[in-house]
Amino acid sequence: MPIHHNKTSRQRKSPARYSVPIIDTHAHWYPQQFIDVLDSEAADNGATMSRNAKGAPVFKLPHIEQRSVMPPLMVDLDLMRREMDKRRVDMMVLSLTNPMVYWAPPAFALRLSQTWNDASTAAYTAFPDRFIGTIMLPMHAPELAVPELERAAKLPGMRAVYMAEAINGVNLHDKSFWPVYAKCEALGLPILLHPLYPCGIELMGEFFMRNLLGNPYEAGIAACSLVLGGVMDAFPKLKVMLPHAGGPFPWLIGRIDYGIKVRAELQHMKKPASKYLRRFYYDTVTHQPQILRYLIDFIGEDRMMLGSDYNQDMCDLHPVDFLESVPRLTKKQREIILGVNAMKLLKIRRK
Amino acid sequence: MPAIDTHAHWFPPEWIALLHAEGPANGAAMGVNAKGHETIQLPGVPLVSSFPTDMVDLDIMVRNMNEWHVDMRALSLTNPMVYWATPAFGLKLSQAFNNAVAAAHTAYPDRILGTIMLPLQAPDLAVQELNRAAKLPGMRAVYMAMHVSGNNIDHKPLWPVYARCEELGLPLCLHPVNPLGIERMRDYHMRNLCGNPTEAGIAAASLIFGGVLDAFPTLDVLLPHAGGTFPWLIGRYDRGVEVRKELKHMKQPASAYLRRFYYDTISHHPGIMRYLIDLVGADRVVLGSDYNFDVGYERPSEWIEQIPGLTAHERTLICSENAQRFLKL
Repeated sequence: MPIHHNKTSRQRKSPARYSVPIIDTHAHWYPQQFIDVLDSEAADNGATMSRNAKGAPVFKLPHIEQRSVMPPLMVDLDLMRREMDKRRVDMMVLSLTNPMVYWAPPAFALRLSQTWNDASTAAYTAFPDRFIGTIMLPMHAPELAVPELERAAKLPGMRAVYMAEAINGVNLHDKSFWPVYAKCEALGLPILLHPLYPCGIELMGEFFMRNLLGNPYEAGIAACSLVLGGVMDAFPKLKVMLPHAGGPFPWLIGRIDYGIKVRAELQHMKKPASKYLRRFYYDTVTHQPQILRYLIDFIGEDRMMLGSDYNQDMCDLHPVDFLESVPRLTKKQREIILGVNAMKLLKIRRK
Repeated sequence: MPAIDTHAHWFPPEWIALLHAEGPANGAAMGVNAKGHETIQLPGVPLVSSFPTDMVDLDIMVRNMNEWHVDMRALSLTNPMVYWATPAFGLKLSQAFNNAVAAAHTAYPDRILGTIMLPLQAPDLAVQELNRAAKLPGMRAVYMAMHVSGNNIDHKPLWPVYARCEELGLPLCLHPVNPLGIERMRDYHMRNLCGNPTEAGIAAASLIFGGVLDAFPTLDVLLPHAGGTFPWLIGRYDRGVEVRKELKHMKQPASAYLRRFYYDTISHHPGIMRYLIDLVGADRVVLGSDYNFDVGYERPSEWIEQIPGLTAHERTLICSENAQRFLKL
């Protein structure tokens, strides 16, 4: 029962050199423009903006305990590039994180999405070899989401759609979202999923369980919902990335398969859920090299992409070192996970 | 090498009779389903529990053990358990189960073992019943849900129960009931497929972070459904212990507690079972069948033969020796 911790790997002597750009596919950014819009209009839309003791913006919704703090390391692209150098990351795929935009009335959510999308493409344009953009959409108003998707997809550097693992409590197989999936598939844009205010909070109030358990759990529910709810069948070319290494989804796959064999609720399924495991991409955010090794063995390195969860406290501060601490990975396998898969999925060209 | 099934459910006829007689006065709606099996529904709980004959009739169950090549079985209740009831009725239901399971052991001393049901919604009554039931023949574990009416199991009022379990040398067999997040899991049986294993993750985290395993260092705990989500998220728990103020009280990483638990074999995936054995050690894994739910195993001792690279030593541990140690046989 060897439990390896990646502390020792941080005492690395000389960093290995790789022939691919190292791409962090799970990294969070709050553009200043996005903060400005929140500062001026959040209050009129039912939320509050304030500053913490260090002067960082803090967003708060009245009915949700979790606050969104926006420190300079998650706002200032110059600081972020310096951090990337320290952490051996060449490129970041930028995404928003909580509070996202689904809390807002549709018109304001659209405006927030547009603000993010414009900032995201501007980050790419300013530093095309360092940043890739993702598209935020007002999913709770699909009639606004589809036109914004069409607009944003034309902006330079926008290579994926970013989405929560449930939209205001509605699972992702809900039919109202299908026009967005259809458009993503038609445009060849993968979907990067991310948790937001996990369910079951009533049992996860203590010990930060909301994040430690709740966030990965959302990936499990989202994957089940997409597979069992027919989204992956209806959109066979749609590619979906699960954060936090897929959460419990891969590890519960036997139970889900067994459910398909025996349960009336799943009689519509034509294949076992395990046949869909490789329809997903998984990031490396496990914080446990041995378990990441199992996941790579189970799914295949061609479905794994480097992620750090920059720059929450739960992030992997040294994602490349962490990957290097995974037992028995060849350099070729590491390069596939560090960059090759992301280059293919996100259509990033080698310089 | 007897095959010992640690995860099997039984609704004693006496227990159902008591529910039938007094359940309605305590808020339960009793009914009969299309198959003619008695059912119970509780206010606010979406799941209707039914009592099929093969989970009620002990002779059928023993014949099933023969068919499935199970030598011994530790019998436990399952949902709806007893926490929904008033303390007095919860105690009465617990006593009815405990007396019935002790009688089952007396009838089949080489085949049936008992687990103790307690009215944990009233910890003082629970300790009293634990003291009584522990003296009954064949009672080898305490059975409890992974939350008690919405309280996680590190809830301080439960600690006297843990203290007494530890003194009596009785391990805990945990089991899900009414999983969290139901509002998102109504479709596609997700309540069971995702929700039940997640309960094991929360229960393990509560026992570790809430200090129960430190306070009761010789208390053994069995996580059902192969530990559910718990082992696979252990790196994230450890990272939380490193960086979060909510976990500053922790003296060891969460992974240091992986081997404080036992895990049953109900993962439904031989390859993942192999990873689990490698992660926690073959000496922490015990057979489970989840008898007789549709998401259970037939022939649990044969199922493990599919585990890649299973050695003869591992087989002996998992089929028999670990459960003997855990249940003090």
